[in-house]
Amino acid sequence: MNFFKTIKISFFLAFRQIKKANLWVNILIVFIMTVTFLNLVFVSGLLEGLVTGASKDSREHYSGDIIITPDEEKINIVNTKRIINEISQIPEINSFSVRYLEGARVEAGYSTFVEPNIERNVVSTVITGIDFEKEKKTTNLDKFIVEGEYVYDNPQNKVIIGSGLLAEYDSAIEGGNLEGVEVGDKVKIIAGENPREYIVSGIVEAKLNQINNRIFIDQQQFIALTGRSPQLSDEIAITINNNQSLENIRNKIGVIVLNSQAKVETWRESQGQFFEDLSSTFTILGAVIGAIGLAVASVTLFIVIFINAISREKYIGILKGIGIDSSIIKYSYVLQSIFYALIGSAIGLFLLYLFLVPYFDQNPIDFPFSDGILDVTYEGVLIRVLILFFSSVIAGLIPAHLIVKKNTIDSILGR
Amino acid sequence: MKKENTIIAAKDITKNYIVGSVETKVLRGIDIEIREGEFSVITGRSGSGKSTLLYILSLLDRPTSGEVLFEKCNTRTFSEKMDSYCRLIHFGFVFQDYALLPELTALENVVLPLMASRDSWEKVNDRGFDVLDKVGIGDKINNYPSQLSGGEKQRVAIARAIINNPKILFADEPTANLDSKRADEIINLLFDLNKKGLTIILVTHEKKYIDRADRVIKIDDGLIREEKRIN
Repeated sequence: MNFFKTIKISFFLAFRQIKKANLWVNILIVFIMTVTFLNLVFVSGLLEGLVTGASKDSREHYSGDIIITPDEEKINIVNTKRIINEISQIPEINSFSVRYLEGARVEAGYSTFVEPNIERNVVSTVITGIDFEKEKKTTNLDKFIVEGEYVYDNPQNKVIIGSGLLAEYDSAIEGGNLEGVEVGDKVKIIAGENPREYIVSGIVEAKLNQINNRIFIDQQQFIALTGRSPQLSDEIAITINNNQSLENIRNKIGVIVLNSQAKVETWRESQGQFFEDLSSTFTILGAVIGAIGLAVASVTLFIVIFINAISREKYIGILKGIGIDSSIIKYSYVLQSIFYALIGSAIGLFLLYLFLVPYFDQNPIDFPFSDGILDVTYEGVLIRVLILFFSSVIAGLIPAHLIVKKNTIDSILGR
Repeated sequence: MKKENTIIAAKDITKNYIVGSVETKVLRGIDIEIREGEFSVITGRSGSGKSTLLYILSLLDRPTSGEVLFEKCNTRTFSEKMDSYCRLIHFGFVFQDYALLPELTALENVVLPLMASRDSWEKVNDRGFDVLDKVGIGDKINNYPSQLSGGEKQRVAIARAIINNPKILFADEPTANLDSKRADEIINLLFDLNKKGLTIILVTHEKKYIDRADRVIKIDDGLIREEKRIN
């Protein structure tokens, strides 16, 4: 008997069995397959989304698309003015922000300090000199203001404090933190021997230590405070226009920063091996959890098909008795299994792309170090559909084979 | 239209069943020859082995020893696929409890063997309808088995058994679940088919049907006790 005819009759039998099966049993099986599919996609997607979210945050709110930092074993980027002058000429560049960093101590509540033996309200941190307008355009720092307001104009004597330095937001930071600091309070920044007083304009809180553990002040104020030459910067974050090749622009900037003790990296390169390892780790973790889910689903489908086949053992015997080839009977069960898997996957895909992905994009899960989105790729989803498909083939074939190989008359007579 | 040549024969057939540690000998050396076009009845009391013999002759079961020759071919050499093909093309089987598939309509039940035997499904339903009409149930082709009476179900089963124009029709007590009137109708249908040349082997213990057969084989305790040609 040719294969095409075998499949045609198998399909006929499978279709009739599904059509006449109990509606609730069909719904239950499809529900199991839908949940299995979502489990396969959702768990791994969420785990990968955790890392992707952190990586995305770092790109969008710290490094930009490209970041210039001091070369290995160098302290600062030199010739900063020339670099930014030449970068400004590159048409593909959308914005950039130069940052100056310096270790400093920040003191609060000093006006009420009376007892010399009482521990002072001080924290050691990194002060970051920025152009508030350019930083806003490059990394949207203003979006992370949780109290007070961003520094839009008159930046003299104003600071933005990262929430990680404040006891009200983070009590676990190593080296202590500032207690009782509110918007409008005065804080003293001591860099070297020069203490200066600033007013807290706002508090920023993000999922990035580079934001939470820093104090941001105006570039000119920074230079006045630290005495640093404006030529010696520490970070230049750059964003590029859409649809431009990152590597090409990185190479162009690489030529500009030659002899400036600086290195140029794309956002991915700047995140280093750790992020990639983390991503791989979560991918493996997702695959392991998915595999367990798949095994459970396969066993479930196996049991469902097996019970279905056992309860229909007499009819399988009758089919064999009237001369229907065993392979037709087996394939009819495999086709039923495939049907359930495909319908389950189709409903799963529908839920995934119409509800879950848009929902988690709009409402990311608030994990401590990133906003958890659902990172699903079409390739990944297709692979999972195929995995479910092949599992269902096996889960349908084995029980059908076990029943079909029984003696025909024993099956018919229920012996 | 009786012919002299043997269509199916059993040679020294035995069949043993082992249940636990007990071996039961159901058939203990059966030799029979069925001629083409004959209406044969196998009879005997319950547990005598008559149904087992029918299953073995129809290749639904294998003997413990001995041979079944179909058109002089030794079926012992047949693979499972060949057994299946033989049942599909050359044999029809009517079971006591109808053995219809509940998810298929009467027409679908009947045409299923035809679909499996033909490369083209063109006019399959026409043929199914003709056969159902011939067995007197042409008006219920779209009914499911659950919507048919016992007699109607058995007619569907007979239609399914003859759809591929088999050479032999095996019937295992096809009237056991029917009232007397329906039973007579079914048996008359079988005799009509036999008159058209179909070889029929019927298992029954109804005397009024035995008397109408060409040949009667009486089995007792796994052995043929009596074999006589009536007509």
